[in-house]
Amino acid sequence: MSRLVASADVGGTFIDVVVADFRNGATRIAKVLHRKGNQGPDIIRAITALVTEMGHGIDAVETLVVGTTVVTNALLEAKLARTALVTTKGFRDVMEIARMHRPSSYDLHKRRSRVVIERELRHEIDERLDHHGNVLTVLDPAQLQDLVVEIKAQQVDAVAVSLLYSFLDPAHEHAIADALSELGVPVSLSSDVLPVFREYERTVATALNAATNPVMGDFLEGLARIEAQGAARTFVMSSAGGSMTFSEARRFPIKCAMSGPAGGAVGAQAFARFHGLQSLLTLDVGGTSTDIAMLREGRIPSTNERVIGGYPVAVPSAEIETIGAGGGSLASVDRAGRLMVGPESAGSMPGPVGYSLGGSQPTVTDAHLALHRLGERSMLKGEFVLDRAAAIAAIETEIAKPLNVTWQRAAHGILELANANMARAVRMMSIERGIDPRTSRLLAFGGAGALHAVDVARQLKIPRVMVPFYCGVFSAFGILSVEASYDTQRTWRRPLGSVTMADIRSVTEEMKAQLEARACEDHSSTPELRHLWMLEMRYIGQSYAIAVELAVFSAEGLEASRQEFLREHMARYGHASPTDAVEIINLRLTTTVCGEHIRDHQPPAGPTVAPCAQATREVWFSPEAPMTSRVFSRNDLPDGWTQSGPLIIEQLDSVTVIGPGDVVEVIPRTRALAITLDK
Amino acid sequence: MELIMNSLGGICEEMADALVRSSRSPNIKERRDCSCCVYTAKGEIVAQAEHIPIHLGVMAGALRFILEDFSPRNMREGDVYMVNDPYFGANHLPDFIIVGPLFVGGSVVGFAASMAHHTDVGGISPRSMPANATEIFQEGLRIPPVKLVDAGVLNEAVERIIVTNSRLPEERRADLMAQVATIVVAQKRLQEMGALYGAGEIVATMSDVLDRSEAALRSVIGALPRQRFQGVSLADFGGSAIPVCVAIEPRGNTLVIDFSDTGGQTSSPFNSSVAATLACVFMAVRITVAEGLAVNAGLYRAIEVKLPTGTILNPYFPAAISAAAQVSYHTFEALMAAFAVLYPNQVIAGSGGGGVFSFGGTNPETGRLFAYGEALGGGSGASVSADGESGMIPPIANLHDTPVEALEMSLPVRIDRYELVEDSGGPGKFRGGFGLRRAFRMLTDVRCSFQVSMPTHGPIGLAGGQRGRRTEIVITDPSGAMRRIDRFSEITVDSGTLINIETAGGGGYGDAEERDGQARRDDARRGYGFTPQVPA
Repeated sequence: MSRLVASADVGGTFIDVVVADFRNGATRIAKVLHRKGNQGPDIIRAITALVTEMGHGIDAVETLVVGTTVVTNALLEAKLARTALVTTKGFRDVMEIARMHRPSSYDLHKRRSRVVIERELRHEIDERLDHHGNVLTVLDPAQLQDLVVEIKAQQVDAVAVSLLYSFLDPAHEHAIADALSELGVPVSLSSDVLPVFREYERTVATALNAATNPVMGDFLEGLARIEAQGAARTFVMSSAGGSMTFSEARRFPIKCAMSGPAGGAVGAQAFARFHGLQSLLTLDVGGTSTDIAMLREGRIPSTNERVIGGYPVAVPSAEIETIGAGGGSLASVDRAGRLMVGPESAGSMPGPVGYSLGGSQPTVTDAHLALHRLGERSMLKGEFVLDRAAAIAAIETEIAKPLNVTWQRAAHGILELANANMARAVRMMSIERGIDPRTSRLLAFGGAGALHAVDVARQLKIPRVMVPFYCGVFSAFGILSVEASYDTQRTWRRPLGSVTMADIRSVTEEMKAQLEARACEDHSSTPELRHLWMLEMRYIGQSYAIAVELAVFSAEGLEASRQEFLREHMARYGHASPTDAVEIINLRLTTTVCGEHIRDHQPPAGPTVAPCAQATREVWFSPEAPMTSRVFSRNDLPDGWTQSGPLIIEQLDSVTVIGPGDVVEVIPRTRALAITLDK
Repeated sequence: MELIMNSLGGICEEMADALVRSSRSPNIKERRDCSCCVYTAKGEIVAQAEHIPIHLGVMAGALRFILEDFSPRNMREGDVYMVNDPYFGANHLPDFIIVGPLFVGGSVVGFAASMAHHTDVGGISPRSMPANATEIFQEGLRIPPVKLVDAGVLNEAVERIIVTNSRLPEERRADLMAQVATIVVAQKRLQEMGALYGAGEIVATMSDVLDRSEAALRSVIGALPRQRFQGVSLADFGGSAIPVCVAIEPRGNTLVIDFSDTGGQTSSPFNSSVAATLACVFMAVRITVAEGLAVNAGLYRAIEVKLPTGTILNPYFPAAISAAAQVSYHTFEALMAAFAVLYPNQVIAGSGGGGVFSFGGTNPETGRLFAYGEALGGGSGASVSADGESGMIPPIANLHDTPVEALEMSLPVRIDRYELVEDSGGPGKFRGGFGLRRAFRMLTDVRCSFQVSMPTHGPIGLAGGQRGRRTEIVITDPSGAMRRIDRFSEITVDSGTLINIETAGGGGYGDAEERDGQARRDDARRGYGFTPQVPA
């Protein structure tokens, strides 16, 4: 009996797929073109092809985990289902007021993102709690019945319910959900989706959850075939870096809004664990964007302040920064004679000039190609031939001429600017959290990560760059190693000094029971569970909290959390008073189902003989003159092999550039590249 | 060059982020009433975190006053200075400007500054925005340029004086320290940059960037028609309005902006600081003549502003000045009207706001003093191609609101309604946005300061568009008696009082007869109440 696990990572241009055999470690990877709006069937098609190559049928796939962008795209493109809102009387416009600020300080014409639910679909109901959860106005059943009739007539696809202070007592929301059940459409409650204070953010998250419910449903429907084929256990990658069962994902699609990038984060965690690294910065460069994350103590922290498509998505997600700089980012010269790179992207159509698909504006990829960092036959094993002359010509006309410089200098300028944008984001990510990049390592992956990593690292004085073996499909590998997890949070505001264990247990036991019930429902046997408690703390009077772990439920454990808060506050903001009073504002729990995933999956053993360079090419590491650089194939490199730059290492899914004086080494077993930068 | 500029921009962002996250004033932490910038060694802004336009104009001038009293030659690493007095280049007293020199290799290559609105700095009313002040001395503690930190050592005497003069001493201390921390961060970052690029390269880049922006703007100004463009706004704080008059005229390659015909100063806090007025000018220039150019003090060199003393825009000492931001709404409105002929696609009609509502007293839950207030947005002005946005802060100040749940969890007040005011946008081919209704139910006795904005007439329309609806404030006391607040007012109300504030809607753009039928039907369906002759 074979035991295959499969994962899929859906990106802007490609779907990356990995299938691995539990028994013998055999692994296949593929990149297939992603046809828009067809993610489910495309994933199945790609997996079927790989499984067939391995001599199996699709029914051999025991576990499937997918990272999907369906929710992200729905938010970015504002393609949201027709959704109604029910909210407390007097507050139906909270969503439209959107915290009152202007989307841009200096662009008077910039519009807010389209309101998630238009006003005619926003309904009010008489009811009100106070900030202690006491009922000030009771819900009127007769009024509720009228409301149901009204909403029914509007023929909506989903309903969101968000009442003031529902996180303190969800009874009114539950009553409304019961009444709405006769409509037969999905109903999202704010007390389920995001039971924390701040009505605008909670209401938007709930509305988006409801409005993306149908699109997530369709996506999962597209995967139904694989689900129906016998033993397949199927999961969706969550934003927080765990996996959710299909039924959980159907209920909470908004928790999958960062499903794609989270795979890379989880992969980085597995990579760090295997290599014994505690802190690690990650650089995931794709076609249109770059994702940056930071591991501390082996983990990528989580955030609840993400904004996608102009909408706040305040559910927990892995703390990943995304910037609009990738291989397809367009270069141009503005009116004042400044070189600009991105954030607009050529995407996959028309793509970079060198792809010969109709693009005429040079991109970052064209700069790599012009400077010969990328060869004409570097991509997909030479199956896709690039047009270097066209790339040079475009840079000449669009950039070099207006700036009155050589094309070599112009191309360098493009890369420098793209690298600077990435470096700035990496720096914000690390410095803001008190980590000096000079003491860290940079893990590069994504189609273009290894093209940029060495230069980005050099700018930040990061001494070492690491490139995993399957760097081009690294996120799909990350997804493969994910554990099923559940999370919940609760606003529970108390001065730290007044918290007793009995007090805190009364809430945490209930939260724990809730997640345990959900886990048991999804996993037929009694699963082994692991719980991670986080306390969001702040000084009394502050608005923003810092999440710290509560490792032990005791007075000493609380004090340890307080000390961690002080350290963290100092590291992030440069000041921390040890005497000012601290309060708990939110409790967060993540419950993980143990041992149901592949840990530390490694590539097949490499060759034992020293490799020959496949070729040499003239690479412009500086705008003045090219350097002759050897080109190696990644598959040819044996464990422990070491070599000084300049050199280029090519593989099916990516290209690594190693500068003059830098030294690369192949780490045994994982076959990752470790590049030590020349000082 | 771009690399150095990117890094400087990054420093400002980093400073601002740390400030918002670690501060305790609702103004800073929820409303983000703060800004950060980096200056050259000569005191010209070269990079900024884009938060509040008005602040950046203010910061442009404030450093000059500090440098008059403290020579950079005598500065040491780790020094930090501060000022809050508008008669020393600041905006109004609650806005603290904190500045520190940036050293590379022993010499000052520039300065970093953060500016933030502190909740309470003393004076006759909680939150230091009294509606009835006649002199600045009633508005709070005046701090001239002083050295707050000497080579890394805090001057505790200065700190104690500031903290003691506030109704919220702990919050003042924490926020002051948060602001100082931003300067320390900037100083550290710049030293790292210095190690990477060297002082010479950084200084040369800053200077080059400013020169380029100046040259680019001058070439645009040189090509403008030789005409005079005028705009007027009636600055409205209840009672008789004060005309804010502006004339814009290109002379050579300098843009002359003349406010000479503006009306005289008032004996209320409704006066603008010079800094706030200049901020409006820079903002208006930036979105019109200088559109698309890199923003820094190089632009300011190509602009000459005439601002006679004794006008509402540049009052004689010791006029009260805390409502400077509300005057600025009108300054900006007048500028937009003047630029509308040349830049019809860039400008927007007048934007509504409700002004600033502050209140304070003793919190029955804690037994301690509290002070709180908020600037309320209204309808934004319409443009040549779109309706105005609703419930949005006017352009010159980009603040957030305070979430209802956050407010009620910390203060003895309940918000009964927070919604749009239907039918309040000015009619036009494109209508103005709708104002806000925010109803405050007081749960204890409080003293209120109403620095009400636009209580007599709403913001102007452009190109035939009509005015938005004016601000309406009605107080209903526990007995049911009602009164309207139609001017700057300072009053005490009992627990249980309901204060209903409806802020002004935005001005319309173009003739209302030309409004698209679908847009009218959408408005009607959405219950925005804009119903005159809805075609079927």
